[in-house]
Amino acid sequence: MNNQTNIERFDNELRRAIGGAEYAPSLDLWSRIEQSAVSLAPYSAPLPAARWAIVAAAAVLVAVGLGVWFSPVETMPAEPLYAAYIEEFIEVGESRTIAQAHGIEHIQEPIKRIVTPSMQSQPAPETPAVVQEPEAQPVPDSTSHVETQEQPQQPRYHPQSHPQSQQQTKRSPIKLSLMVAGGSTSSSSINGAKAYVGDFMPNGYTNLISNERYTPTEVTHHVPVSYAISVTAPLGGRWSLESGISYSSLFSDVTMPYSSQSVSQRLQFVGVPLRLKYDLYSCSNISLYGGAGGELERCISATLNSQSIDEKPWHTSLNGSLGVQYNLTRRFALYAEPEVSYYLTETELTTIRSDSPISLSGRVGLRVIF
Amino acid sequence: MKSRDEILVDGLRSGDRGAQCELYERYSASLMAISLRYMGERAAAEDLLHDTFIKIFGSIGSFRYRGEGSLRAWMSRIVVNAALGQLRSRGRQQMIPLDEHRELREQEEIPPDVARVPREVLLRFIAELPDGYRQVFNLYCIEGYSHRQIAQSLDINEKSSSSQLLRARRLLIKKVKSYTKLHE
Repeated sequence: MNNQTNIERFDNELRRAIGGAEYAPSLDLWSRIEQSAVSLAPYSAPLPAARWAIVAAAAVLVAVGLGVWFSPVETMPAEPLYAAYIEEFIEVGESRTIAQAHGIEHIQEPIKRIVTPSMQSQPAPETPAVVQEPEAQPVPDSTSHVETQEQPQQPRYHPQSHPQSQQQTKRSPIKLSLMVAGGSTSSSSINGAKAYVGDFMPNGYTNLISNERYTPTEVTHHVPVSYAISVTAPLGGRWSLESGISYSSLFSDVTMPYSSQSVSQRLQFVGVPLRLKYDLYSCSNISLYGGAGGELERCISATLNSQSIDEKPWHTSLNGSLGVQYNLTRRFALYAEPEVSYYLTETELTTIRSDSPISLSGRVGLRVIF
Repeated sequence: MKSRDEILVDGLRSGDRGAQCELYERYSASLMAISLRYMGERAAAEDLLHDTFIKIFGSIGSFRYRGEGSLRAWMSRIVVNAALGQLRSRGRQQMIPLDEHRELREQEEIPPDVARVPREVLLRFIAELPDGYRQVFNLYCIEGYSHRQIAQSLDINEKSSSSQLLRARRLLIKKVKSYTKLHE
């Protein structure tokens, strides 16, 4: 047996002997700890992701509801549900009162056309009554004054000036979306740990974090950010399919064992999302839709303070979202989508996705309508 | 079914004093042994253990249960980090320059049989090592780090780390030999 082996044996025996050692502290130590711990506030768990999602969804619904309630209604003829609602009041002779009560002065002309007998015989509902404006039939006295008031606004209801409204009853147009997203539900950090973005690693610190030693003691996650470009293709009816390419970046500060300094961990992904979307409601310039699907992402870079570390190459997730779109013009629209994602891939690295597999993010973007 | 550690963690998160007391009873002795290995003195080790338990109670929210033993491992890391931080802040690292020729002579020594020495005696021997020796010995022999990793975490050079280890090992061999000779 050579000397090196003797040394190794000595170290191993010491490790075995000392590794699981116990040594009783003084009897009064617990009372000291107990006194000091009195001032500690109980740990408060972060609000679960599902609750945030519900809160966000409720907020979106309220916002959309208010938007619908107070928005101008020039394109009302293209919305059959709303038309039926107005028609019902016309039949009881209260349309003017109800409309005024709701601040929707501009809808009287479409109302007139809906109740006109000639309109009821029109075969295609996507052709609003206002197309027939020059040959408009006489209307009941109760609404005749409305027609007079609305004459100057009639051209606004021509379908050629509202191609989007015309298409709503056929098929949704193809849309190109540019999106940025960010947000999540929680960060995992020891209380009092400050978020620290470091770009240094003293003395080649990376050896401490070879994967078998990747056991950080403190991790502070920053809000992940994603960018995407996607195309939405109509499937028929209210359904559409969205896909494209996305880029995501996860950023965390980690403190490894035996070090008091934190270092930055960054993971970058390129992904392909696939979502089935359903138009829930639309009126005027605002529409509401929901979507569900998944995303396959490829980890293109995983670094701990600029040093590469191993990470599983493929990550999958499921997601569901609720979206609001506001049409700025005929071609451009802004949209916002609170999204709940569930990350399926388990990873050895501590990331915001592994700490909180269910996450909430907010997506905002610009949509180009073809 | 939840393990005892998981139930304890749930209790700690809700600030349950009973859970804190049970955690202390279950783990204070093993954490004290670690603290003593690094601090060398009982009083300093108990002060460190006090601070460590306060930190554990306050930061239990960041702990993630990863199976049996994960709670113990997490708390052990907190003790070690706290010990190294405290020793660093006190500037107590005594790194003695390496005598290359002496090191070679030490390599030739045949280590004694450690198994014949009771555990508590070995702990005392380690506690009696100078601070710098003790830190390097603990990190290398018990935690399993390389000299490069130790040099990085203690902000010293690799040669210092290996020299501290050799001296620590030499002192321990001497102590163990003396003990075994005395108790033959």
